[in-house]
Amino acid sequence: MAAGVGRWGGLTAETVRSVKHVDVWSRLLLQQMAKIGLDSVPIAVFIAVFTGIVLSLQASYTFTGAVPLYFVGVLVGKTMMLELGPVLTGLALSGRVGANIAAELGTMRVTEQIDALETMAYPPVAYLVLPRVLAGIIMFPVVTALAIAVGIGSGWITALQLLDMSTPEFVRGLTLFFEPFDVTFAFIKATSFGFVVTTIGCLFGFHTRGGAEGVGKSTTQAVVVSSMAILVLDAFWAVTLL
Amino acid sequence: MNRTREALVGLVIVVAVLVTTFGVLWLQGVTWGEPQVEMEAVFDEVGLVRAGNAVKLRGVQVGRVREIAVDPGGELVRVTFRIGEGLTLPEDAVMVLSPESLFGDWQAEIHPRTRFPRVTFPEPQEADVLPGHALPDISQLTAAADDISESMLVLTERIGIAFSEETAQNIASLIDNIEGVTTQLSTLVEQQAASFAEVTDDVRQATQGIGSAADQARQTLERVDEIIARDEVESALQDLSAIAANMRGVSAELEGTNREVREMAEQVEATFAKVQGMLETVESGEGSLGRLFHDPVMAEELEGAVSELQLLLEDIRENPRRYVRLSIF
Repeated sequence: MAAGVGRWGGLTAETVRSVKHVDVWSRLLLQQMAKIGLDSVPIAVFIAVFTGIVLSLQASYTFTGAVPLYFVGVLVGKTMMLELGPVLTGLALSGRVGANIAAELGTMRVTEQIDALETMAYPPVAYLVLPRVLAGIIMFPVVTALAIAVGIGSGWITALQLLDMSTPEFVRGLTLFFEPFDVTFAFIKATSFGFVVTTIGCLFGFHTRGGAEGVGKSTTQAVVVSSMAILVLDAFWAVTLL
Repeated sequence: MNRTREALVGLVIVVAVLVTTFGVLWLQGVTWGEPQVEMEAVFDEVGLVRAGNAVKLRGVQVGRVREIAVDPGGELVRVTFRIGEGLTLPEDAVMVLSPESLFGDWQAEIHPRTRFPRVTFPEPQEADVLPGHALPDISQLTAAADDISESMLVLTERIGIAFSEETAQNIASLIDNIEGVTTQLSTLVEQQAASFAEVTDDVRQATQGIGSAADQARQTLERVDEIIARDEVESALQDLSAIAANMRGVSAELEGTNREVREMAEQVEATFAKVQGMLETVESGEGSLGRLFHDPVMAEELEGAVSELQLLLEDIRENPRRYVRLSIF
């Protein structure tokens, strides 16, 4: 594990040093943003819709009795912004984006395409890693913002249709304990998740060995490790920022 | 990469930024197009109120709390809030922070100061800054209730210690005594009520008497007024003067009579003294009468002489010519 962390640190440092090759990575950035962000919006929105519905229903089930029903809005808003929006989106994208990056770069490694780049003195990190990492850092918060908005919206509709709540009630709960830092916190987490998922995917893809089997193994490890990293980071930010 | 995908990437980013921006502003309570004014209030402390809490006037939300900061001196907390422009605040308005519900949400209400006569508000130096006060929250009230319950528990324990079986018996006997005293008091009250009725009758009669006396006095005074009016007083005074003169004459006569009576008494007293002396002489057997009283023979002779003298007088009355001889010339 220590060796893995060391390799990850080395790759991160190499990625930072590759920023100077703007002409290499800038041409690929928009393409990676589309692959990592735009293509991930449907799965993120799908997860957010059902998360909002479940949150709303479970909140009403929990608050039956002494707690007023407008606290459904409080719970849906706070939970989507502080926890489920960034974390579920991060986990979904770690499976989709992290696996995709690891498989793509692993295949390039086992087919010696990366070696060919190095042979041609073309910076492989600036060409393969940096666009993906920057795209992840940019697009993870974007997808997370959309997921939070969709999740709150689906919870709102659920409260109106299934819980016999009114819009003023739900909005009162939504605004009751809202603080702008809630959104900042969500973006900090999403950005860090984007960085971790893409760098871990790149790390396992870059160090793939053993042909097709190695590619599959790297992909699996990338998903597992990035998911664990997301959960660890989630706790880290909660401890340090809240 | 075709331009459509590039546009979609841009669109997704723009949508996410717009959703985030407007969502945050909306959740913060920012109103678009409605002019607002920013005001401040100062507090000793602000409880659990936070930026974004509702500002209410007469129970209606008219704005939101924007910022909370401790004054540079550290003695006051300054709360900045925004309300709709054109709102007329109550005269001598104050801001009161209070829990909006039992679940930790607070509100800032604007009231006239007269609604809180017992509250001491901090007085801000600026004229347009409202004085404020934070009411205790549910936790403070609960802590106070906890103190009260502990005091009640101590009190209950002390009562339990003091209220032994002997105390209960004493209290029972005390209650019996009180019942007896109450019965006696009710009897006394009934008696006193009867007496009171009598006294009341007497008082009523006395009052009636006083009333009739007052009538008579009034009539008398009216007569006096009439008499005064008819000038009879002067003649009555003259009569009184004559009576007084007569009385003085009578007094003088009485004084003379009194003097004569005194002289007569003195004479009588002297006469009695003489008679006393004579009687003493007689009793001592001195003199003719003494001897007469003490000598039976002489008394008998005297009695016989008296009888003879009576006979003589009768004879003289019947036959005067025998003993008296009248001759003229």
